[in-house]
Amino acid sequence: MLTGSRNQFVITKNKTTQKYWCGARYNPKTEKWSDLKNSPQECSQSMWHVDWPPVGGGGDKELELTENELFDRLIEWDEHNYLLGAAAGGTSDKQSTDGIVDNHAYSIIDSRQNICGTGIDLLLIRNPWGEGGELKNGMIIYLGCLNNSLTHTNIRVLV
Amino acid sequence: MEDDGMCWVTKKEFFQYFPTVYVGALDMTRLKDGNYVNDLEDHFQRGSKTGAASPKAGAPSLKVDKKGPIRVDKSSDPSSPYKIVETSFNGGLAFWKMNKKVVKGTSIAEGVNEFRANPQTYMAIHYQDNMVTDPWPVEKHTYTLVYRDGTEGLDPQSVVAKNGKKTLLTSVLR
Repeated sequence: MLTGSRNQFVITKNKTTQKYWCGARYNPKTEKWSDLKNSPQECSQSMWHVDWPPVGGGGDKELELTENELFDRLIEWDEHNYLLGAAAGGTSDKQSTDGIVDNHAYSIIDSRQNICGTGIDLLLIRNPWGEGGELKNGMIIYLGCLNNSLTHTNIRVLV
Repeated sequence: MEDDGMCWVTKKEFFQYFPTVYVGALDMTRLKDGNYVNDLEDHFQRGSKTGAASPKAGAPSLKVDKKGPIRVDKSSDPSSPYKIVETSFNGGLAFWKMNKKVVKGTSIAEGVNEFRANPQTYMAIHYQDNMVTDPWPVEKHTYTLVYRDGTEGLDPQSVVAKNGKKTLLTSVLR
């Protein structure tokens, strides 16, 4: 996902427990990485359980988190300017569910908790197919990282 | 108007539609550092061919300090009209508005000292427990100071978690 860092984690829902486990494309026994290709269809789909990222609370590879626990960590990772994304369920990106493209990766750009005291927590996600120019939106994301005091709303006014 | 592909989703909607989350555990602000070098280190534990896990020499950039826990002075100043209340939680906070400062690369113990010394400026401070209990190298410490000005409705009691992974210290009038 991010060239320049090997600390990449894939967190997946366990359909049996309905909780989330932490994986990576690194095999700790053979000490080898899965082959990486330009297209996910050409990559190895192998995934191994690994310890959770230390920031956010850590935890060993056996740990599974509830949605609320994972959301708390998303907030923490966002505060640490980690690069976050998410993949929608489904089988084909030619279909969508309630406006979300199936089997498609989105960026997670921002996170907010308890909006106006309502108890509602929100995430700002972005479909990379969005129109308006990758450069412009790329700048939005980058500026957001450079200065935490700026919100995406006012950054977008600037560009 | 162009569709830039962005939208807000609630926590419930997010987990309904997205069963997989990707995390690139790198502080992206490092990329603006002119001296940044792509070191390609990682945190993953190495398992020996015989099956026993062992860390790769020099690889984990978050290897712990051997000196034992860092002492954090959370005591209240008896002469101050404010007292410090400690809460264990897991990261989520309840508030109306929050004006905060995230500090990185400075000892959490120093941050707590600053918080204790300036109760009229700071309403709260929070940090991840194992950064001081393991402890992590100071350059990896991160904590968040919450200002009184611009913060409303912070409710520590609503996020209390037994054996939580974070500590929230709030400064309240006696």
